[in-house]
Amino acid sequence: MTSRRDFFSRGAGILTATAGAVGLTRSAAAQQAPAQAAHAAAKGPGARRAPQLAGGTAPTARTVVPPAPADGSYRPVVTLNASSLPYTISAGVKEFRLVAQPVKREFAPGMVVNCWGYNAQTPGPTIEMVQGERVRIFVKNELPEWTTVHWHGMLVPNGMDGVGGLTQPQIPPGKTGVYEFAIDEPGTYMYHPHADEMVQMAMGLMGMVVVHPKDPTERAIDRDFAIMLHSWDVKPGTATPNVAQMLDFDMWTFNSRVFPGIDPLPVRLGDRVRVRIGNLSMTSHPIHLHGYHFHQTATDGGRIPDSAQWPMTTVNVPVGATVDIEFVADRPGDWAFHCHKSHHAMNAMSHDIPNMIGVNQAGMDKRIGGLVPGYMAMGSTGMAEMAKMAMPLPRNTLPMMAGKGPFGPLEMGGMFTVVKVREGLAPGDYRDPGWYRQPTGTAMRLL
Amino acid sequence: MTDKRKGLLPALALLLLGGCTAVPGDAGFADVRRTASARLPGEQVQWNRGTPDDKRETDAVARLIESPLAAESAVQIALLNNPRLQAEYERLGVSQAALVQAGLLANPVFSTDILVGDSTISPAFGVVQDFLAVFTRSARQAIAASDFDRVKDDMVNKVLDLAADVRSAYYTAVADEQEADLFGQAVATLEVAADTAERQSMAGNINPRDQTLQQAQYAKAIVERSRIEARTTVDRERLDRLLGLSGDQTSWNLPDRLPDPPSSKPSLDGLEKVAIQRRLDLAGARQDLQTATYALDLGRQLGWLSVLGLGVQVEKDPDTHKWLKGPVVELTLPLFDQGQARVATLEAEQRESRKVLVALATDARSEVREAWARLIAAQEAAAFYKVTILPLQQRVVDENAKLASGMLIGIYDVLRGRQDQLDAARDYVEALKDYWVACARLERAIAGPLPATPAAEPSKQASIPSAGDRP
Repeated sequence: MTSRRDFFSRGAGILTATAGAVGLTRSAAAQQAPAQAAHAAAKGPGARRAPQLAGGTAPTARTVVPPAPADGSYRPVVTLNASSLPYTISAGVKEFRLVAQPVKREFAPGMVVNCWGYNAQTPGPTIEMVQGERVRIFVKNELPEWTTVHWHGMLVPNGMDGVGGLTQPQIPPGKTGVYEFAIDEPGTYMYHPHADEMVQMAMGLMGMVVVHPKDPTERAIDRDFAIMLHSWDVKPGTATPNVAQMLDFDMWTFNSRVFPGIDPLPVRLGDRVRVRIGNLSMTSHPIHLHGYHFHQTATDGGRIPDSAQWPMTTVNVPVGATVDIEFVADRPGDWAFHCHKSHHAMNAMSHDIPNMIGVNQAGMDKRIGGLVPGYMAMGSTGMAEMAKMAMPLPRNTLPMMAGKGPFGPLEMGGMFTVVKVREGLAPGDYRDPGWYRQPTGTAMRLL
Repeated sequence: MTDKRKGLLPALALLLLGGCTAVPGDAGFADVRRTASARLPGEQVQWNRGTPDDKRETDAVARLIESPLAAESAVQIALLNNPRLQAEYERLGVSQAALVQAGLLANPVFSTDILVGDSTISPAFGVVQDFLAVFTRSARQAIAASDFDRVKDDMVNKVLDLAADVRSAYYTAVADEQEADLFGQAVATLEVAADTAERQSMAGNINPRDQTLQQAQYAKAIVERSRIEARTTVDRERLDRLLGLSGDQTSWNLPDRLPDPPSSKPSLDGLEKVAIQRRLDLAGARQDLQTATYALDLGRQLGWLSVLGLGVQVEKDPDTHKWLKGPVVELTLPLFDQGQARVATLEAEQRESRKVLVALATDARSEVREAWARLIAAQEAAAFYKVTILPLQQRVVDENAKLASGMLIGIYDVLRGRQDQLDAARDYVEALKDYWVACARLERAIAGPLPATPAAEPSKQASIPSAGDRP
């Protein structure tokens, strides 16, 4: 149910992207239909009157496949629903320009959050560099308070470590700080502020750094994805994260997106696939992939020797660390990929509602309906009813579970997406291939 | 002498005839009705005097209580049917009789004495007429007429009192029933909450304490509901008494809701003047002053004179056995009481009347201002409830429904939101009641309907009532 306007904006994205950049024109549009309906229903007069409070609008967070470097020095990573940071070369030094600033981020159609991020997005664009090359990173501060950038896990000189007050003075609003270093060890790293860190991270200031091996054939990979995990406390009906929250988060994101707003991971049958996962939330996330046994091949501390890897279906991503997993995509299908803490694969929910499971609510609807029009008794048989119907929700609020699959409601939210393994995808084609058609006789039957 | 006597007797006869005045049956009620009808447009004022006409009024009352009572019909019923008012009307008869009385001369006094000697009997006969009354007749009539007017003013005042009491009682009774209905809905929400808790308990989903809390809230509301229902009965009975209804007549119905106040507000300009012109208590006090002035004038004229009797006497001379005739004059001699105390009393009473009038007028002006301020405050409050508070409560209920749809809040929060909304609705009804009662008070304070306001400006949003807005 992509609207015409939506379609054209995606199209414009494709046209303006430089060589090699491809927009995911067919992203999870079909999956997003119920959420969009809820969004439309939730657009009450209040939303129009107070756009600031309601989160307002944000550009749809497209996955932008970065252009491959002209020298073929590496194969770029694909950061889901985000992009990589462009660079320029100045006297042999690769220069990046980061702008820390307030941004509006659409978590999924129907919910826009007042965040802080880099270069108009959260997470900030992924910074890709090559092992041993000199990089210079300009950090312009357009935030209302000072900031720094810490290069998490990267072995930089002490003066480049970005800890405000300890290794450098903070960068005041309006000023630009310059970091310069060369990284010797390839791997998956992160960047985030180390100034008013609790607030700035809770608002979404973070991003990933990928250091590619000098030798492009080393650990060669066909599809390389990057996902930053984060948690947020954006109460239903609000649009600004509660930065004081420590435990009771209600939005769990892959790259500051929630299902059904997260693009799938399209993979060609037989591809060697790497997923780099960073975690700057406040709890660990056991990330589970259906259909495969994979290996954890690296942390942000470096490559794990082959002899030290073991097969796994779920990898726990600790707080303040990155994990690389790799597998060969030899089993076609639509394979769920999600955090296995079940509340983390849900959208906004209350943890303090009366428990109605198994409670006989017969006749209650009618009695309550006479007193409170529009009320619907739910929960007696579980919460699946919620996913089946699009009822009006508070503004800027996503249903607890949403998404529609080929067989019905997907009943998911938060940290959930799908690895879509298909035959015959072109290299570099990251468009959503649609739903998998299961071969006859290989699917569940209802008796 | 004889000629003189001959002239005196016919004069006496004339006086006596002149005094034989009948008491008129109307007793001045036409005046009362005229004034009262002007002050209560559209209402009929009747005095039931045991005539076949009374049947018409009984029928009218029966018709009026058939359909849900409007405020005007409640007033009409009371005017036709309130037994106390009908009793009050009898005072008109008393007062009018007093006026007639004032025009009557005292009857002549006949006296006789018979003196009996050893061998003689000497009878004497006399007739004396009080002539002071003859001279003061018109002055006393003026005083009685003034008193009669005062009683008529009193009567109209009673009618207006009754009408205002009926209107207050009526709006209170309508508000009672509306509030009782709203509270009944609140009780129903608590009942649902208690039921839900019980069902949760049966499923093992709620602890006994939380379930008991729901039950306790429901139980408390049941008692409160009985209190509210009792208050409704009490206020209905008050109206029953004012309307003079009993037996089958007490099954009248009220409309479901109080009407909305008009959008335009009455102006205070000129209202005090209207009150001074119209109020019957002031008219009565003016009449009292008039009476006191007449009484003082008369007292001054009479001075020390308190007895003036003229008459004739015949007596049989015991010696000659002839009848002796002669005039009789009875006259007080101002030796000790020259009437100065009486005049001083009347002077003081006149001054008192004047000061009472000033006091009443001062109070009346203040009452008008107070009643107007109450009316405006109630009108603004009612508008604020309607334009702001009730829509806000509705939005809370709507947002609650959305939150519940997202399973972000539960049934108890939803029901609590509805209870808050019902509480606000009851507050709104209270504000409406305050307005209509204030309206009745203000019209009572100016003894009649509010002067027609110049073409009402188009209704605009109610302003927020705040202390600063008060003129």
